[in-house]
Amino acid sequence: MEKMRYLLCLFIYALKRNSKISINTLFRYVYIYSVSCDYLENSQEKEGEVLIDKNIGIGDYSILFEAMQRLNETEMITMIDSANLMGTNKIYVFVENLLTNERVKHDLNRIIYFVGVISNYSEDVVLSIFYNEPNVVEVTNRNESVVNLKKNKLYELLMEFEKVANEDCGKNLDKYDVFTTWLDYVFEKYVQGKVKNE
Amino acid sequence: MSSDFLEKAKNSNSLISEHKILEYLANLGKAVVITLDKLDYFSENILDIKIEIEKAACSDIHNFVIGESGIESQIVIGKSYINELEFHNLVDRKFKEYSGYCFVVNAGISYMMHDGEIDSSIEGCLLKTKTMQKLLNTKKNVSDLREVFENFYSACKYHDSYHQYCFDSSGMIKAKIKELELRNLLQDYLNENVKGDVQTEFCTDYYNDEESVDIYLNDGIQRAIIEVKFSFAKKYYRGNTYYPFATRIGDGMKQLDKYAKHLAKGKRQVDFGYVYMFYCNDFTDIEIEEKIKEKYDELKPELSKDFFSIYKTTVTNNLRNWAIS
Repeated sequence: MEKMRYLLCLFIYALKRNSKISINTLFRYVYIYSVSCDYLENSQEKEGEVLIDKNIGIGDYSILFEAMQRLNETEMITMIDSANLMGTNKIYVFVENLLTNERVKHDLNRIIYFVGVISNYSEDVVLSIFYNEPNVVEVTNRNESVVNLKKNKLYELLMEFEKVANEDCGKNLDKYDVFTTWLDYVFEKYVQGKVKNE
Repeated sequence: MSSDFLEKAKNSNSLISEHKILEYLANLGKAVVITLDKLDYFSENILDIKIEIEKAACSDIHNFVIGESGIESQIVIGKSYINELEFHNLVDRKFKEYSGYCFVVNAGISYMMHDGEIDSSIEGCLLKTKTMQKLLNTKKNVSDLREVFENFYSACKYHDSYHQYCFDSSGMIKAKIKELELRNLLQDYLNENVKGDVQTEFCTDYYNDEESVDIYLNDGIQRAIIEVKFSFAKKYYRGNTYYPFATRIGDGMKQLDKYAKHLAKGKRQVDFGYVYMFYCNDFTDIEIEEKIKEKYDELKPELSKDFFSIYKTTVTNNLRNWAIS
């Protein structure tokens, strides 16, 4: 839960100051970040397991919810209504004070870049990204609710795309270009699904 | 999905992620030109860039020079009150000879220059995303469902296709029109007009397959469930199923109650619940409203608090008003 509180603080800091943040969307950002980290950072710290709630469309719901409540109790956030929250001054000061730590600076840098890309998509699109995330698709098809990130299907898909784009098509995509192209692909499929009868 | 996605590789662009970040920075509401020799410097220093942009004065146009060690300098190159064309001219004058990357953001616009030229390779891609988002913005949220139901009713009344689908040439409702067909009409309309995910037969109870609600919506922010029912008087309907109007309203409410309890047990939040009633009979509008109210009052003692926490209203759709064009 500590880790989740830390993550939530960094995410809230990265999002637009003084504007309301949809709770479910925030939780989805955390899931998508956790599952794409392996690929984006080429990191060795593979996440273990994430529990999915297929109905709301969120991962690790109870842990994140508890973390959010703790932030509310310590007045780092204000709950605007049951669906939205806003960061208070306290959370911005808290995060800024942590920045003397190089590790925190590094984490926040990564999260701001991630948020910079994903916050361009509206809430319904982020929901669609969650549902189309390859690990979620597989787990849903098997009627299960635990995503095991030791065999990360999103990682495999993005690596394959990177290979095709850079080796076969002569492009020069970095990790985030590949990730963004995938986000746009899901966005396009979602919009097509909305207008197919017109 | 994967082969479909891999097809996109040949049209992919290596500046796409940087463009998205630029849009994010443009939302900070300042006028800034970021110059750097290597693209990597941008992602490596994004935190400092964001902090400095937030601190920068609104009245000025700033140039941040980014190098290997981070933000190397920050100078004011003009005043931000100039109009858009003057702004472009200023940027062009100052950075035409610069061979590196220029990231330009001002009042919601953002673009990139490289080696003195504006990058247009990404134009088609960005325009497509903007068009898609504009289209999505015309769709409603789950919180606007009452309005969407009104619009659906108007569509049923004035669009010929609905009448043709449900009625035969003698003006009777076809025998094949039952709950499933009516539910699908509503579901298709909702899918086209409401943001997010619209599902049918959404299972409210993991342990019992029978407990599935007719329509479930999730727009990413809130969720709703809809129980669809119908009641057609024999004189208007070729089919054999006849449910008295008030009884069917009661069935709808009781079923919504069951779903609400199941969802609450699993702590799966839903924000809105509706009963949607397609009907065709000789009752007046006032009589219809009275019947709904009577049934609601009658059932109130046995309905759960979970029902009351989500139930909004019973929406009616009178097929007798579906005129032929």
